[in-house]
Amino acid sequence: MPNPALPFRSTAPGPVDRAVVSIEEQATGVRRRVNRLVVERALFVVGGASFTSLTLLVLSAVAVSRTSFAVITWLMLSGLTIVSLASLRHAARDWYRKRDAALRIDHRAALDDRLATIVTTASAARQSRLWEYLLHENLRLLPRWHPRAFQPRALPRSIWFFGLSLLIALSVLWIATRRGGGAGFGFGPGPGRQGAPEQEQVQEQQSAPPSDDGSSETAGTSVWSELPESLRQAILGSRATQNFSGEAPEKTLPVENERDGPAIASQRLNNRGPVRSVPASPDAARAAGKGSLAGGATSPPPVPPPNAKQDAAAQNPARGEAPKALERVETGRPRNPTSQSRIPPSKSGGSGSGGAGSGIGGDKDGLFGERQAGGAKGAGSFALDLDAMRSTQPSKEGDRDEAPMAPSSRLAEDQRLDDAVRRAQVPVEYEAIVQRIFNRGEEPSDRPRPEGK
Amino acid sequence: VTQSGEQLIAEFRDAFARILAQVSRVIVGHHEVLEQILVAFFSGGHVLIEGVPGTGKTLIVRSLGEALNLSFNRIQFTVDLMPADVTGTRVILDREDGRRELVFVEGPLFSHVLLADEINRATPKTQSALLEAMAELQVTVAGTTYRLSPPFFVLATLNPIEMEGTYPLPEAQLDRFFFKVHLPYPSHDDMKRILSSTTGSELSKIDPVFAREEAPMRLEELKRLVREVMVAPHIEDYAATLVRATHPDTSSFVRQPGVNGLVKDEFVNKYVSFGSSPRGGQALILAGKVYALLAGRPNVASDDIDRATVAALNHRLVLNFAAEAEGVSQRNVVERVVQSAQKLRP
Repeated sequence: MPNPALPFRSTAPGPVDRAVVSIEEQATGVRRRVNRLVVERALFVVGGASFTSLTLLVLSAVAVSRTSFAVITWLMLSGLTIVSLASLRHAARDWYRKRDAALRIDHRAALDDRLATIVTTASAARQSRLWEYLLHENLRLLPRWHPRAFQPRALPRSIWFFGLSLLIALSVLWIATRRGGGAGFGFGPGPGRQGAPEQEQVQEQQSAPPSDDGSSETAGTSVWSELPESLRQAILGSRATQNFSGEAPEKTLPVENERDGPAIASQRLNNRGPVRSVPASPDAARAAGKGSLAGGATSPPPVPPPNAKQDAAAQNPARGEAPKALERVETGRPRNPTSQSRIPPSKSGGSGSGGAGSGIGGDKDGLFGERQAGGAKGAGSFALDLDAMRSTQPSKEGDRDEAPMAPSSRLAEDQRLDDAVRRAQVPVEYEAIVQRIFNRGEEPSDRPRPEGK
Repeated sequence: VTQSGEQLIAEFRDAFARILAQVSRVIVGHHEVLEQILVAFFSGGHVLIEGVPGTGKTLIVRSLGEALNLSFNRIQFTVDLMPADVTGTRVILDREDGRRELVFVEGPLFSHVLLADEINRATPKTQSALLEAMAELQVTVAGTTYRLSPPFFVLATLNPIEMEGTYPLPEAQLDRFFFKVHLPYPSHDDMKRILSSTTGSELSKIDPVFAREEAPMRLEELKRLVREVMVAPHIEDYAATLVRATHPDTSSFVRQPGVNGLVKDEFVNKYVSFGSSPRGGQALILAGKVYALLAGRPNVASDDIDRATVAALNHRLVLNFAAEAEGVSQRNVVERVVQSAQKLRP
């Protein structure tokens, strides 16, 4: 707006001022474009490195041991830090600051310091007769350093690295999420993955829930899902044990498995850990001799068993390990009269003839003992008698009461694998299922087949 | 936007080219030396020409005077030359009425172009008689100051051999010279041209570029145009860096990898006793301006500074005994400095 006191002095910008403004605006545009490219380059490099590291970490998590994974993780973090710092330094070096942007544009566009001179010279330099020619030269050379001519690339080349790394990372994560573990990557069996075939077999069986009457898979799934978690885990552990094809290790504590196992185990691999059987009821827990299992503070305190060895075996959670030879157990195991089981004594076995699930020694049915159709506690449930199943099949009738099992026997320790199932109060409608499951190990086919009652 | 500046630059380039062409008609070869002499002339400086006898030093100066159509004087410096012989002196003049008075008689210094031939053969006292004239374009004799008419241009020659009985120029006087150029022996082809052009019946003749009346004014106008060439701050910083890099104690100059900032140049520290004075920086900027005009630019670029560095700084350095023992010349030091300075460019 012109000053009314000085109407003769126009404040409208003249052609020289407009030319200078246009040069400065173009310089600002170049500076913004270059700086944006610098930032994008740094971000893409760092992002690409991050995604690459993530991909490698995911791959190494399922392919290498935990120790190696830790080493790789630290190496990745160190490398990522170095890349980030290098990118930051590179960006700081390439960043066009406002005070030296004209100079850098000048040198890069080979303007022979024309732009730097007209931008940085003081207003006193406009008194020179050559100043307008300098301005004219800068206007003539404007197309040479137009933002798009000065910086042709709108996006840095590092975007390809970023995009590729992102694609690979997403693919790896998708595969990992979809298949739930490293088995989907097609890697060879790494350390700690020797039991993979058994695990897969168990997984297949788990994915195909058993049905007791050969009905549809949907019905079977429903029945399987209605099973108590403790029982399902116990059954899975027992089944895995039965399907164990190799030689049973002497000591199969999960610590050893985890020491050299994959850094990130899938849900299937986690089942190899200690499987804790949660009894269906506190009574069943007491019958199983491990009242503190899975109940935490709410569970009743464990009743001290009469036999320390047996108690230790009972308190150990069931594991999916191969059973040892059970013949000696079945043949020489005495029935503990002081068992804390509240299962009513069966007709044939008599009371006080054994531990949990015992009292069915003379039962011809062997495996499941007597059904407890009546009574306040036994209604709708039955007690397993795995010992009877084991003993009746391979041994003779008269061997049961012979050779009482020594408390320190290894067989007794191995039996703890089935303790949860053995001592559990299973609803009666699951009898056929459990029977089929425990008979599977002796059948040629490992796929549960429906069988009629 | 008018383009009057372009016309001014064109006129300057045209005058420069014409002068150079006229001098080159007599002086065979030495194109670079002639250009440097003209650059110093339009910058308002003086030139010290170093060369062996017979290379055409005196001919160059005389040809330049003829081409510029300016007054030209020559002083052959000898041991017995006195300052009054250079500046002039006051003499007793008998007037017609019988009275006598002291009248100042101008010496050969009062001219536009002065050739001080073999200046190192005169005593320092006589040499210093040129100091005031070269720096301030004035002469003071017996308390009276006499102005020299511009343009005033001193061309001194220096014979690098036959050093016996000579008086090396003091540093203060060396610093007054804008450029010190070395006049080498001509090449084989130039030698043949010299022989053919100087031994024939017709000698080359120089046509003055300007008329005698307007020559001083035109030349001063061109010198003012040189002063109007614009210099960016980073160019001034570059020139200052070059000058300070010649100092052994402040040669924080050469950027080395892994070092944040500048470190001392061991080459300078090892061979240089004293570096350039600020006059060296002034010479760099002014010469850069002339080179910029010659390139058709109204502004000084870094390359213009580099072109002037050797001629402007080499005679301002004082080397130590180590440099003399190892055969390191001032030109070597300056060239090393320029090479290092180019790494500092953005």
